[in-house]
Amino acid sequence: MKVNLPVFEGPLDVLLYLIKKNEFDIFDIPISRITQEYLEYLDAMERLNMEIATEFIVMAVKLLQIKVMMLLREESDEESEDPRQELVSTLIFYQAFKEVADFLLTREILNRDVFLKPSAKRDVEEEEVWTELSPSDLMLLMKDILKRMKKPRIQEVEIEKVSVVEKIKFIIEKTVENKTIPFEELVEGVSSVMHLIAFILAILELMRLQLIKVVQMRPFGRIMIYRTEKKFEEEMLKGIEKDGERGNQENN
Amino acid sequence: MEREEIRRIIEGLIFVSDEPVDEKTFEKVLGDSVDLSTIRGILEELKLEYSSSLHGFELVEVAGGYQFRTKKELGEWIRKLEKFQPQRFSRSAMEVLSIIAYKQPVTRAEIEAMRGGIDSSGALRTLLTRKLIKISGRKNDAPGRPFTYSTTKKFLEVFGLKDLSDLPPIEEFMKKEEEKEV
Repeated sequence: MKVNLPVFEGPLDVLLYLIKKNEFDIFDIPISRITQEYLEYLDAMERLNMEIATEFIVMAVKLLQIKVMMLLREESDEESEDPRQELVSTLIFYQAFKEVADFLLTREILNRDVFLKPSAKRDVEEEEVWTELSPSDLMLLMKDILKRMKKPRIQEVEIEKVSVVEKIKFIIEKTVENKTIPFEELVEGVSSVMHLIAFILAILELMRLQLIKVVQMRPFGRIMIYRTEKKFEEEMLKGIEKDGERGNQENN
Repeated sequence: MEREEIRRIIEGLIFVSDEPVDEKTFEKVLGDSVDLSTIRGILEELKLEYSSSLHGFELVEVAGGYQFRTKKELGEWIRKLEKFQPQRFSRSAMEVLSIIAYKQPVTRAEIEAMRGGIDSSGALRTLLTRKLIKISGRKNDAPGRPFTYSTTKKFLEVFGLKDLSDLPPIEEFMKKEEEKEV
């Protein structure tokens, strides 16, 4: 059996749907019929293993309550208030607010249909505030990171091959020409001092090759790596490759 | 001051402002020698001028001021630029926003009652982060003195409304339903 169950925003949405489907008069809702259909809808939800939110149950109780009151009212001759009144006014207001929502969505919405000139002024200012940092600033930064790095409780003597060239290639891969990237993002997950030193050496090397600039927006601000327009070529690394190897051998 | 000069100044002021420029700001900048009716006349002229098909943007009266905005027909072209990705609105956020727009200041419990008891905290959070609504106070005569919510100036800006009275009366949305049934 194929069950077509529309998705509703809540119990009022279900009631409005049932009223429309059956062409009921909203001011004179046949309460037993709508209650029955509403309960059938909850049944269908249950059969589909859909989670039934409390408000749906609360509404079922309310409908049954109204139904009972309607029956009592029929039996007595007294003129009393229509037990459906509150529900009807809630439904009418809810319907109206749904229409308001539709109305708002047909407006010329900012950043969907119509757009503003982005503040050009702001962008210019930001670019001017960047200041270039010197290698000594980098050293301070390295000290800071070393301090933050967790010291392992058990000291192990590890012989690791750390290549500066590898770090250079990594940085080149991570950066985009004419864009900045936070320094922290580059060294994220660096576990050992050796790796960090290799990173710093790589950055210094890249600064020398004018492939990157190290910049900062304001004192103590975030340090950013700015990749210049200069194209990176493998050849640039030739000299460093040898030096690097020698360095590693010495370490070993 | 010559009228043409005033016109140029007004146009320039709107151009450099991030937010809609209100009449008070024009008066303040232009000084006492220029009266409000001249300013208003010029603003009408500028509105008319930019509404012509020669321009890609127009002068719109919104959130109590004047602002240049691109024309709607240009939307599909502008959205091709990555930084102008359209904002989406969920059904429930729109329902909650509609209720707040008409019933403000209103508490969360009142909103939820009007929606048949649906939990509306998520929608409220979304609207707050998007600055379309704000916490405007507390309801002192309700238990627990709950927060009340109201719409913001940004709400007017986003939906292109001059002020709250620019919204059609709620009865109009109720009438519609009756008409449909007839």
